[in-house]
Amino acid sequence: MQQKKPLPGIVVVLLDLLGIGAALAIFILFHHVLPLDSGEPIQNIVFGEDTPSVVETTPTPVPAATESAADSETAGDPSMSPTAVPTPTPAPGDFSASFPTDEPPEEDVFGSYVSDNLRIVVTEEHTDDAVYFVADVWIRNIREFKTAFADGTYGRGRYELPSDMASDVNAVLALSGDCYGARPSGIVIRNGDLYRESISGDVCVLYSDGVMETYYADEFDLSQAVDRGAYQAWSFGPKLIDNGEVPASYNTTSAIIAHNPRAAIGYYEPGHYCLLVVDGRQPGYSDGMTLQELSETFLSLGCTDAYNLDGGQSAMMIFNGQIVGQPYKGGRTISDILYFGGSDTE
Amino acid sequence: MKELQNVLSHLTVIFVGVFLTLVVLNVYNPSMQFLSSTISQVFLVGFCLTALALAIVTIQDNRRRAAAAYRHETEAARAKHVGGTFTRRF
Repeated sequence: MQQKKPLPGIVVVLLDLLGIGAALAIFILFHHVLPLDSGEPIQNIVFGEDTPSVVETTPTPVPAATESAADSETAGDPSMSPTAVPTPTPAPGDFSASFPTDEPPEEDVFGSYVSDNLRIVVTEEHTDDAVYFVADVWIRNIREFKTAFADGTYGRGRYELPSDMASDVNAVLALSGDCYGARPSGIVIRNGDLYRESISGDVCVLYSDGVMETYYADEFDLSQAVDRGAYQAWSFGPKLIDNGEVPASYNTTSAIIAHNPRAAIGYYEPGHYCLLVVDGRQPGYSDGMTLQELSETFLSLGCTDAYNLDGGQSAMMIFNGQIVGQPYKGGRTISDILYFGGSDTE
Repeated sequence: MKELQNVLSHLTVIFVGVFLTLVVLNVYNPSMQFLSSTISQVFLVGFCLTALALAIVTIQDNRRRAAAAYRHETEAARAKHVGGTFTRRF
């Protein structure tokens, strides 16, 4: 039998490279592109029938811009009916007592927004090699702290630009979230609903009483968080403040620890938070921050806890419909945002 | 056998290329879980099965070659022995 002439070596190498490319394309298709999850929450934690309501706020005039949102909120929740009797002491999640009533400063600020339930002041800050923006946020009620999914639905493989998601919900202030959809695991709790219960990396939980706590991955107990009334939870990290200090080490790789664009959230007290976005990877304008610099920045702001969200090209802040700063390469599509003001998601 | 060995070798090279790429990506963005997702596990099982099949085929082929070589050597030795006897007879 006559032997076939073998292909030239370079052709064999090229065919193998083509095979690798095809295999990677299949991998990316299943890992990143195809929607994989059902979209339905596993459990309603905070606003379920069996859980006490946290929304019995002292009555306050509702501004015209948020009236329709308030109406839609109350429509499906008997505890929010107009006849509900105000409680003499603030219910958990009602921060009326600490909500500031003074006017925000007008000088040296990037922008500000004040309504009866929300007070936001955004400032621009500079270090030697980074430009960053801090949004100081006060809310009157925990329901003002909202999150939204790309396409309005939970599920991996769903992506939207943060600016588009913010526009969809008419957010006053929005920040890119943890991009939960890029990973098959990691706690996902949004607006009181539990969507994913597998732990991956450090966890940040905002409870319905307004307390925000961050946990190392091996310390987090989901059942305890659920019992305590977890309202939002993100899984990206790492945790940025450990017992009031910069952590000795970070639960991530050196590539993440290095200078990068950043999106992060800080906590002062119930009802008072700060969102931070750092521009980066743009020599001559802003290199970004290391995780240690980010921790130090939150400590200098006076935060007692802080958590790193999805950064890099994903990091984007939107205020009053405008993108704040200069996201790296204009940003990219991600799975979720956290936001204030605007309408509620379904 | 040779064709199968050839195909399995190329499949192994492809899986190696995929996993080396994923290892590098994982260094830069570990939170994406490039090495621990379900599809990664599927690829890993494929890699293991391909490598196992290639190993079995290669070992079989080596054993077949070794047996053939042994048989060849035995026959050559026998022929030499028979030839020696024949020489001595004459």
